[in-house]
Amino acid sequence: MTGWAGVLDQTLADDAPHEPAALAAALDLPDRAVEAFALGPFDVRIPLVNQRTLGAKVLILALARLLEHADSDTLPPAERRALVVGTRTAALGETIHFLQQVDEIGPTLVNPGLFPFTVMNAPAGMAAIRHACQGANVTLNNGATSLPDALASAADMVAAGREEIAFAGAFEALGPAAGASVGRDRPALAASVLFALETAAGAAARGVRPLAELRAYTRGELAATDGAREEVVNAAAEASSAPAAALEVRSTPGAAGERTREERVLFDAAEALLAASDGRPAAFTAGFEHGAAGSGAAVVLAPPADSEA
Amino acid sequence: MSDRAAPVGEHHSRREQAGDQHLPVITGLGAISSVGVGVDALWDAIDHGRSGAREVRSFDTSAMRNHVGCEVDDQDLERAVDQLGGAPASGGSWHDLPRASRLACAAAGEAMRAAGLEAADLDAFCLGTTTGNLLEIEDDLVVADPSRGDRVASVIHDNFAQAVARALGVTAPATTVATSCSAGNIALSQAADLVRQGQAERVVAGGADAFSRFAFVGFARMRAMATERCSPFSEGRQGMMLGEGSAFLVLESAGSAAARGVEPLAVVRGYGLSCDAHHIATPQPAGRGAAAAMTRALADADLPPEAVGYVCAHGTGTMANDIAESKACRAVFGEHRPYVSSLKALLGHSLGAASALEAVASILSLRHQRYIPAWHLTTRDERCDVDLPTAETVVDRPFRAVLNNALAFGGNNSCVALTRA
Repeated sequence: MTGWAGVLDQTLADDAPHEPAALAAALDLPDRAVEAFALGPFDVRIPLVNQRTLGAKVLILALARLLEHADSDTLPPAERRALVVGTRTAALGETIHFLQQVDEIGPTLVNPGLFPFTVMNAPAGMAAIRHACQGANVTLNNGATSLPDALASAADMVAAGREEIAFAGAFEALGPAAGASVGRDRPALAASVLFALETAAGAAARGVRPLAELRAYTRGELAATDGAREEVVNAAAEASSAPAAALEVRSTPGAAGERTREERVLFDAAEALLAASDGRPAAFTAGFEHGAAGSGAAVVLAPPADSEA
Repeated sequence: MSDRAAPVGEHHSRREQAGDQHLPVITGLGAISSVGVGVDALWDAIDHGRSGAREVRSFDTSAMRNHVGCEVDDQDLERAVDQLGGAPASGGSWHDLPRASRLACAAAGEAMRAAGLEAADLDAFCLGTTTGNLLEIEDDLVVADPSRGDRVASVIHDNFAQAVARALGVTAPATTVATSCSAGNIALSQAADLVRQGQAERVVAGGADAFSRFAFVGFARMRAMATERCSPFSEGRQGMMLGEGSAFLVLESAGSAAARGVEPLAVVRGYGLSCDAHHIATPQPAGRGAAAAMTRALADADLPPEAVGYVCAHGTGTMANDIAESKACRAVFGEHRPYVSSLKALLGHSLGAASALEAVASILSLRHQRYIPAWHLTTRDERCDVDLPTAETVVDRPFRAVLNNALAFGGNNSCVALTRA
């Protein structure tokens, strides 16, 4: 991993606190993680992307920030840049808006320009257009493990030599209507975190110092308990040849009965990267919601080779 | 619990590591579409040019300009689901599952039966879709009432692939590829990588999408739909026809298939992905992105363009797609002219399921050594400079390799290279 960027936009959340500490408290996220993200509202105009296409907006902003800090002269050409994102909420808001418009205006008059933005890969497509990524463009909709699964998929692409660099991560977007539809009782928001993945050799050739190494990924099914979380983290640690006890594990298990906390894994992943780039092996987990039958995943991030020595 | 633990970044060279033992071969196929239940029904329709297009039955189209689509017959779907036997491992009845899940379970079940595999034998499950089960709760979405939140949350928080896998009793990791119309191909590509990298021995991969008023209205308003029939690459074509369905393929390492004494049906030789980065809904006019995906697939498969005898085109029947895809073919193949046709003339566009259905059809085409005719072709559009096989085109030139294209909203391109076993 040679770069990262996080974006949290509250454009549509009239009632959201704008101070990082208050926002972190409202969203039940760690202060440090929220402070590490760029906080909106972002008053930007992006062609074709309006306030209703929240997912596209935050993904484009995150990629812009990531590229701001990349050495553009040494970046691989557009056709060798992949974009791999996971998302749980995907285009829920856009889908709801289109359905409501069909009901209100009628099927023969609804704005046809809204429809393409209802597909789950529209944000990744728009980000690719905006930032010239002509390599693989993959969107995974894997519930709670969407982010770690996207990182693992991107890492495999890069390791296999399919792409020279992959911008991988996740976005989640819950505007007021989408938030209401899932019974969310916290401020509407949209957030994205993206990491730049390339091989160590590729980074060296570009003269870029890695922040961390994506060492291992493990996914477990039917992993709804704390015991299962420990088991998956241990498996990831074993695969990474790192003792589990040495890992700083970022994990935000869901509380019983809680329905929506899509964004938390984005911040856990960022915190794990910050720890690894500071020289401390770290892991983050996703999933493991109490009472859920879904899957859980763990990703191990190690400090870059030169800092381990 | 079953899990997949992998040191990331150790797959330095797929070719060095893969060897013949990890070659991804196909050992089972399953399909359900508007032309019927099962792989045999699909091939019969292809052979006879039988289309699944008819008046839409699942909702009222009287206020709209379009009235025809390619829906799966309800009785066909019930019959397909009955073939699964017993009840879903996730509880309840097969008939109570959302329509997209029923379509997926029917096709995946057929593929697993054909391969002689049980749910417990699988190491992974990959499913491509556009909307999964989301539109099953359309009414709840429109109302956006917090009191209905649990119902909506349970759908968006669930991984569609996982829901289908759970119903089938599959406890292996399940992945939902959500790249709209290229999703089936990308699910197949992900499965092939798992096998090739030695992370899995047996994977079921495919696509599924249910017919919806949502998509019908969307495409109709975009003026992308034909009113009566879909005629890809024809002059004066009107556009696509919305369809639905599901198809699945069992991918297995050559070593696993040999150990089980199973004869492979075909080989997933390679794949290529790319993005137009041009427009959200319109292909790059020169077909640059599609050509890149095809070129990457050929390179990954280590095949020269001349080895390809047939291209199962995305071929939606829209003006923009067919012209761009034809240009992509010319750019990739040059003077070599493989036959090109589109299954969407018969099945319509079943979105996330489309390229999975087309992969199954491509394999049947290889097995039968018969090109899929360009059904409904009138006069070839001069701007689509590709060779379109007719029903009379049989084995006048035997072929070993097929490219299966899928191009999607977001400029999302994928191509899978399949060869005879």
